[in-house]
Amino acid sequence: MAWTDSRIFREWYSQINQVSGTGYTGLDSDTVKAALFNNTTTPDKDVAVGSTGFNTGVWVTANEVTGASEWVTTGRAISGKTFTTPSTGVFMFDASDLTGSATVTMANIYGALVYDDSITAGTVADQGVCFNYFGGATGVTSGTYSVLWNANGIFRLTT
Amino acid sequence: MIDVTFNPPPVDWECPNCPATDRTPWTTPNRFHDCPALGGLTAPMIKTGSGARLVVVGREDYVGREDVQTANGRPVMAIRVDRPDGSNDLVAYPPTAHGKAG
Repeated sequence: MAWTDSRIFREWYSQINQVSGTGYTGLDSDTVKAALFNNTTTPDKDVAVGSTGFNTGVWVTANEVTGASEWVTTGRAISGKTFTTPSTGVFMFDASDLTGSATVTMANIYGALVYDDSITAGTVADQGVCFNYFGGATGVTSGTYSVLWNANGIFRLTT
Repeated sequence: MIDVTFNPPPVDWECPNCPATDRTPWTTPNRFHDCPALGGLTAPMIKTGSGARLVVVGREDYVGREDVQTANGRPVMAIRVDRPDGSNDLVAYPPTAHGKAG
């Protein structure tokens, strides 16, 4: 099995401190998306920056799982983003759940890539922020597909 | 002669695991609630009288250090709403991705 866990890309820490010329203005103002991937993907939190972006490295569209609508290629935009410090030494990024409303048929969805769709240059276009492993294969048959984020957020950074 | 358009009636929802019910406009595709029978997990509801059933899909992989979502303390990967016609809806519950600085 290629997916094993959920992590923040190491290169993302570099990105948030070196934004010049990338198009990055902050997760709050940038378009952030979540795209679904199968188990051919082998996520690596330490991969080179050029392979963290959507449609690069293991995150190529050949490994993406899409539907006829709503969950089309490049994924869905995340809204209702929040940035909080829920406890000592902890920063949390969260957003509204991605509830499904369209009827789709998809299979072999193992996890999601969360990426910044506003980054266009400098590091890698559509640079990945984190990846979240669902824990096995999921799918839907002529129904809605929803992703409900953990109450602990999409990602947490501990100092 | 005046043309009058009538919308379909509202949709009634229920949870097969707890007493929660709701009514929404006919255009609402799904409904969620924090289910006490599932330890407070935000779970989908089913349309009343649809014959659908909720299936809690447990995590299929080793939890390890993953910050998983749980239903009554058990790691949950998804909830599937199975309908009699063979179609279904699926709700995935991804863990939180963690990182450490310093």
